Amino acid sequence: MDKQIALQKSGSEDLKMWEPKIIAFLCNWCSYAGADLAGTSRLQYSPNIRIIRLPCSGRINPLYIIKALVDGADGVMVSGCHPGDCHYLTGNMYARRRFTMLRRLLTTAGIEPERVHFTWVSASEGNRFAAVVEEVVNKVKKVGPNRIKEISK
Amino acid sequence: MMAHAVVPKDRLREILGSLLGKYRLVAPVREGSTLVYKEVNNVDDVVLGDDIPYKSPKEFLFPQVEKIMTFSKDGELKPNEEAPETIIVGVKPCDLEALKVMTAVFTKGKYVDTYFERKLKNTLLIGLGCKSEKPGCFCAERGINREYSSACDIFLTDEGDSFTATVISDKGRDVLKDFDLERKDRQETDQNESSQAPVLDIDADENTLFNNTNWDGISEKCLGCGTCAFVCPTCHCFEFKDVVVKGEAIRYRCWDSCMYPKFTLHASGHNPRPSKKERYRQRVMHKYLYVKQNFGYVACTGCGRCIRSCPVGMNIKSVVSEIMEELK
Amino acid sequence: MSFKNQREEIIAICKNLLDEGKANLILGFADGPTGEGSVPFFIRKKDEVDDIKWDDACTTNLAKYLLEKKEGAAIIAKPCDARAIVMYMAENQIDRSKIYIIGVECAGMKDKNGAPPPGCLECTLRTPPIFDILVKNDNSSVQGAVNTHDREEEPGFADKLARFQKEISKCILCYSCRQACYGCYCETCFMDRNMPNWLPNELDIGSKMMFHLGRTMHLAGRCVECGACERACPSSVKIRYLIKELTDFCEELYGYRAGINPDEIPALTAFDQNDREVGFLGGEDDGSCCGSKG
Repeated sequence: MDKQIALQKSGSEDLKMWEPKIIAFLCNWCSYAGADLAGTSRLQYSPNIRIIRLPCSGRINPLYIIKALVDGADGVMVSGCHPGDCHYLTGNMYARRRFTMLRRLLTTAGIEPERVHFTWVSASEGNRFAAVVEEVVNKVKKVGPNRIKEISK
Repeated sequence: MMAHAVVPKDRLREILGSLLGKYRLVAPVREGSTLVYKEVNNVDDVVLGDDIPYKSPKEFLFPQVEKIMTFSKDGELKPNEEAPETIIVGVKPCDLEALKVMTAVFTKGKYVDTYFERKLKNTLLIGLGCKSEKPGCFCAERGINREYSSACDIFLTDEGDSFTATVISDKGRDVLKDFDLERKDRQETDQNESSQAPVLDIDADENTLFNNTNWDGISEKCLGCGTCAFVCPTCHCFEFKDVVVKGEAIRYRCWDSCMYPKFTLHASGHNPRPSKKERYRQRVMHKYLYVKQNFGYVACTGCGRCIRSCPVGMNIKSVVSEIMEELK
Repeated sequence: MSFKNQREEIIAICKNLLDEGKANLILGFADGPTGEGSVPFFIRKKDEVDDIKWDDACTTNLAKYLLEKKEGAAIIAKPCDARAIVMYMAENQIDRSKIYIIGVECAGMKDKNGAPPPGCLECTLRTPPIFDILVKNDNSSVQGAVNTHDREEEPGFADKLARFQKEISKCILCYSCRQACYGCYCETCFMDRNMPNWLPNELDIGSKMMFHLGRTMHLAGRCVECGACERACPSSVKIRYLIKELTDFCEELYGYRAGINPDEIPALTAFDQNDREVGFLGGEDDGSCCGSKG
């Protein structure tokens, strides 16, 4: 975190050195297993995500995502089972509505939509998980570090 | 010995502008349709009129969130002794009288709050009189003269295109001594303070007031939002919060309000003030009875802010009048 | 003036209710303490009924008091208040049989400057969606709904965040908006919790963002657009634009508007197999670079 603060103070040349910090909320039964598969398959992907494992995407309180962004995360990624395949049958269906609304709220409040991503990755999609992470990291890199604290100065 | 000077309005702006460099200058400014006391960087933003800012200036002596101290892992304790040299200009007489109450609570008595005291010592108060009463104001019923108060360092009276500045304290005299101002002779009796005794004052037995008043009916509308405590110039309840940031612990003091349902929640889960009735009763009795008993002042100066800001129109003036009627 | 006629009808209804013992308590409006505006008025005796106020300054949302009046009450309900009551029914917070709703058709309120207060300008609902007795509005020239969705040309993102932060920098976290809102009735609000502690360490823009974004999310699909939040705010923070965006979006996606039909399940507590995934990776494009096949 210190490097990031120093970066914001020092200016744009160092931006090339900046690596985004992305929090990934993954559901235990599908997405986390998919990430695990990516690992056991020795797939290379950007190391910028910090994973938090939850039993189901429906367990994700929108406040977690908001708090991650307010506390300085550059991006948030949420992944669950494909709709219809939830281990708890319907958790991800409720989550889907919640996330759609949350995304609209965050973009209205000015948080770049490139920072917040929702996706469905199943336990067998190791390759896809790696690809999704790359996509998310690239998108977050394009919008730069979290501006929430900076813009209010 | 009080001295008076005539200060044309644009000259006052110049004076404030030159003081701006050396002091933190706080004044009423307009934000949209609201008037609020704020730190200014540009003298043109200062509004010295008849209107009253919706919040009191207490936050510059008793901040809403204040860093009290930090302590490190090796046990080093560092109190936060920041107290910037500040000038607050445009303080209304109700707010000046209220600061007397705050000063008594924080500095008289067994323990002195050094954080408040330090800030008070480094603050110059420039008062400003009111020409008219705003809806909700009842300073007169509380025995306060809206046109003058000597509880400050310099007092300004609006005379049209100039102010009469009454220099009251040595601190005020020092600040103005380098500015060439036209002196004015004035009879001391022209301005007198507390012109009348307060009409709104409760003189009653605590138990009668506690048990026999219809607090249920009085407090029925209250939402428990706590806005009254935030805008009130005498409310001073606070809470502490300890946080840890990167291995260093910081203690913050922040405002609290007795109107919040969890204000008196004990660790055991018991809450001695479980409903609005107990909380509103506490508010009125604390302001009109307990602070008077402990410090000699009634903690309500009739500024009317709580009445204006309350979303459901709780009116402490009519509550106290009703109580006085009942007690007769 | 139709407000005057409605007031007379309301007074007659209230006197009747008290006479026949159909209600022991009536929630209505009275004059504010400074002569302008209105405040809640709890009527229990027949001689208090003549003090009822009904005009274009009756902006308070009375529905929230129903939660604490467990023995039941009658309530003078404008359309927005009635919507709040419908939501309480949908969320199982009140016993419908104990409440007598005096529905009043509303021509729109005015604040003390004569302008429509937050909520009234965009209102399309002039008749309460639920009532036991209806007091009609005989004034046909009711102010039409104006869409104030100030969608200035999609400002660049720096502007949206700056706008949001500028607006909430005025906020003093007094929680008046939360207390005034019909939908905020949790015993312990998330802001008051220690475990987990949602507040960032310093009371700066981050805490205010946490509160407003969190509260708006909790009201997603539940807001009845009564405007009580903005009216209660002592610092004049214009906070409604956030929830309004969600309310409109909810209607667009799920065809649901809070508080109209008491038998309808609130949108965020239901789901459909074919819900749209706007902005998801691999979902619908929402105008940003997302929504592309990943």
